[in-house]
Amino acid sequence: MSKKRILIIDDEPDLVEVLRDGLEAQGYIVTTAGDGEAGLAAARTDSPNAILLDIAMPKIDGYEVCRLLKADPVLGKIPIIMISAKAQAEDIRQGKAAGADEYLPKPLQMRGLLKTLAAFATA
Amino acid sequence: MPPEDVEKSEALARQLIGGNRQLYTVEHRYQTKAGEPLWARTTATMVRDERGRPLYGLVMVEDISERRRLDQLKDEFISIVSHELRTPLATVTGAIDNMQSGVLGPLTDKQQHYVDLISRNAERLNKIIHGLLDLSRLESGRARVDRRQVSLPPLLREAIQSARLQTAGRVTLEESIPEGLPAVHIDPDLMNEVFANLLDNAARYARSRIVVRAEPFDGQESVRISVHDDGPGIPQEDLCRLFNKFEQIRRPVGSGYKGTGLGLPICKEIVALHAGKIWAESTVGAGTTFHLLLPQGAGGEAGGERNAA
Repeated sequence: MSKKRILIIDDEPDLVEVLRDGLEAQGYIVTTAGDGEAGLAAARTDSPNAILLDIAMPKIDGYEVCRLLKADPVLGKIPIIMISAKAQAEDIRQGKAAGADEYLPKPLQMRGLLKTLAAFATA
Repeated sequence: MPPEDVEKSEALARQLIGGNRQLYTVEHRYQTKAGEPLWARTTATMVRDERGRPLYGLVMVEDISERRRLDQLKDEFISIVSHELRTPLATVTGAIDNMQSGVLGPLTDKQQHYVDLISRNAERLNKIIHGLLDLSRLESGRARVDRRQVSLPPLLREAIQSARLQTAGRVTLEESIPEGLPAVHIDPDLMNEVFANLLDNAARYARSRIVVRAEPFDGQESVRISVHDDGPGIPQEDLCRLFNKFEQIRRPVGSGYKGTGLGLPICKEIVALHAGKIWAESTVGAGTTFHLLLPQGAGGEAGGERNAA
């Protein structure tokens, strides 16, 4: 089985580092982007198997990134897992409405994240 | 005033006249002639003659618009702060998670101990943030309440079962829950939070035993649920402070972890939303019992209850 590629779009470099370490230890190839705009570009160039997407980001927020990606005939097929410190039922509803395949509230549990990635990062 | 509010007020007024209730307080949103929203708190009671027949009603109406506005500001503040707190917390728990799962290689015993300690406390911080958000929503009446007819035994058993898993045999959990309990009109998710909180508390203070009882009360009008622990008990003078925010009167048994100080205030708010009652009885040295009274119907039947906010 070839290694799966995960793109992390999040503006918190410390968290990105931690997630990268955790995922690489599990055999994933990790690429990252620090804001929504860079994230959209990376989704095109890195051809990830799944995207971890933060919501509160400068320039283009996660909801908008999600909508733009899902509207694209090719990129729209990539599973998007929203990760956010906004954890109220209303936030989750909004994330799903923007097209997210899954929504994980921060703080993330690595075990839960790995389970979700195993389920979604298949293609 | 929204029609469901009118219905609710009428139901409360009937209870007052019928003598099932001594006093009630409700908060409603009205509109002034100028179209401005106006919040009013109505408190009503009934004055009776020596034979208990109603003489006249006593009603007090206060304009609480300003307080409501401040509540809303407080809510927004708490919501922003909790988001800002959770973001760095996510990095801390992520880093600790990686260390616990051996991403950085094996740890010495002392390192492992510190990692566990950081993990436990980060989790506690996370619970406090959650609790603050929940509580501020409940207090402001913005919490979504989805009430329906619910059979209590399965709900209670589920809560007891997960408490059993958490206490891992340290205490025994006994139950006395008759199958024939009348169904109650509650939001099962919110009420489950109440049960979980009461059981969590009991587990923290019990020496060896927790007993959960449910029984019909007041004829079949309501159901009383009690959670008893055989812990050290609470002095009478401290009982009234139990439901205050961040009051942690009791010290957990043994090396038990401390709570968030928000569990009981959350319970109180949820129970109040259901027009129920919650209180504690305790004997120092013999243990503490929390009682929960849930009225069977309370409020309109169909469609549950909507918030005026």
